[in-house]
Amino acid sequence: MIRLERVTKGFKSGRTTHYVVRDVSYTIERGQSIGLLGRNGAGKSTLLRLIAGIIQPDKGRVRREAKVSWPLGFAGSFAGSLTGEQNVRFVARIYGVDTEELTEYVEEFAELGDQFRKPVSGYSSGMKARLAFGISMGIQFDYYLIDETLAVGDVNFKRKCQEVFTDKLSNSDVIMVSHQTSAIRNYCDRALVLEDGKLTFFENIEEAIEFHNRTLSIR
Amino acid sequence: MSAALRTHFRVIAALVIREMTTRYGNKIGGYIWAIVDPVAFIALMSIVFSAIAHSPPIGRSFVLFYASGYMAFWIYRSMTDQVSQAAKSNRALLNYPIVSPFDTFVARAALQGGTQLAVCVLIFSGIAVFITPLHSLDFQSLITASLVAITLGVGIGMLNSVLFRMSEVYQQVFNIINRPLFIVSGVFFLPESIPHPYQDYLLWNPVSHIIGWFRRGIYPSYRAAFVDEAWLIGIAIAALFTGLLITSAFKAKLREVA
Repeated sequence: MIRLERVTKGFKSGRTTHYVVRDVSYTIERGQSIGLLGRNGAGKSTLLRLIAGIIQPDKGRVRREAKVSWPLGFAGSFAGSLTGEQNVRFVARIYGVDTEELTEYVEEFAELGDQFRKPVSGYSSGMKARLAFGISMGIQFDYYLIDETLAVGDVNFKRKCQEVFTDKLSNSDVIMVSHQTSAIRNYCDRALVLEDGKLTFFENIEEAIEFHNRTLSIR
Repeated sequence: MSAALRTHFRVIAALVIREMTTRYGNKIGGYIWAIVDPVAFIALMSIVFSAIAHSPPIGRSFVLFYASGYMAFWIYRSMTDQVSQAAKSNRALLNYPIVSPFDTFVARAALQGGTQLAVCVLIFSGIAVFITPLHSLDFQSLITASLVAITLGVGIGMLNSVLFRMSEVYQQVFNIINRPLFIVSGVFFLPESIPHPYQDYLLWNPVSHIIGWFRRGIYPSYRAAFVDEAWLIGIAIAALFTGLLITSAFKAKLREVA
């Protein structure tokens, strides 16, 4: 369970404060996979970072009674001077999982070939995403936070991701930010729309998408 | 041990390994440079000053005199530099919520402290073997002076990690003030040799006290009466606490992508 308790987070730009969330309370129960919708710049990634615990709210708090992943995304969570393999070992160590096992799993999964033992600074963003996806799938989390990364690689790789991911979803849940409403339709059963610092909850994905499209067209 | 503490230890250990591989591991010469750098500098100072002076201010060996001053200075300076960059150079890894900025400081300080110990042991054993025998080192003074230098360095480093982030002007000003620190701290002279009132001005600089204290451990006959131990320890602990306070208050800032 992840519980947002009267969470406020804003960023000052000049004299005005732009609120990502303003006094938001919401409980994400286990067994719910949630798609997060909102227009560009609404702060979906920031909300994901709040949920992960990378950043702290200005007011209120986020309680996590579950093992929550880091937000998987293009933002990059790798030390560029380390090789892919060294980055995998690092993550294995910090999360206390077997380094050899995780290395083997990711090497096979991410299909990076020789590049796996080359510095990450030379990777394309697609390669980084494959590495990140492989690492996180190799560690058991209750919640996987996904920031726009499912659509990487060629058709085969995508299919493989989908298989592993669907398999994961039998025990784990996902909180997903995506521009592709198709991904959200595939993996999520609920949706939240983030707009002007407010979260609106939808039991039904289609209603959420419709609501989201409507707010987009108003602006 | 609580789960949270165990997590910190795990993360710090992982960061130390990561730092070792990037700082030294990827090139074979890495470890050698850690030692070549101070050796070259001490040798250069010794050559230059032995050309213009008959004997060093204490003892007969120029090398030992400059080594004793420079190593004490270097312990403080390199710790400050390393710790102030700790969060910045690990910023990508701070995307893992389990890694906190605090862990990066501890990991850097631990690795740098270990490196410093190794380099000091190597340099002074080298001097003892090849240059001049070192009789009756006062280890208590050497260790205490080094620990104070490390504490001060970590404190100021943590403080700077936040302040550098917030203000480029501060960073410039700090660098300008810090540059002559090497000259005025007493690496190549003794504060006792400076007339009043200038000596008093020099002694406002805590690093001059660190060097005096360190030299007391190298030269059994050198008293370094000017060293104000209580004041120096007070400053170092105050710096550490301020550093801890500021970095925990601005934790979020340190995690932000530039």
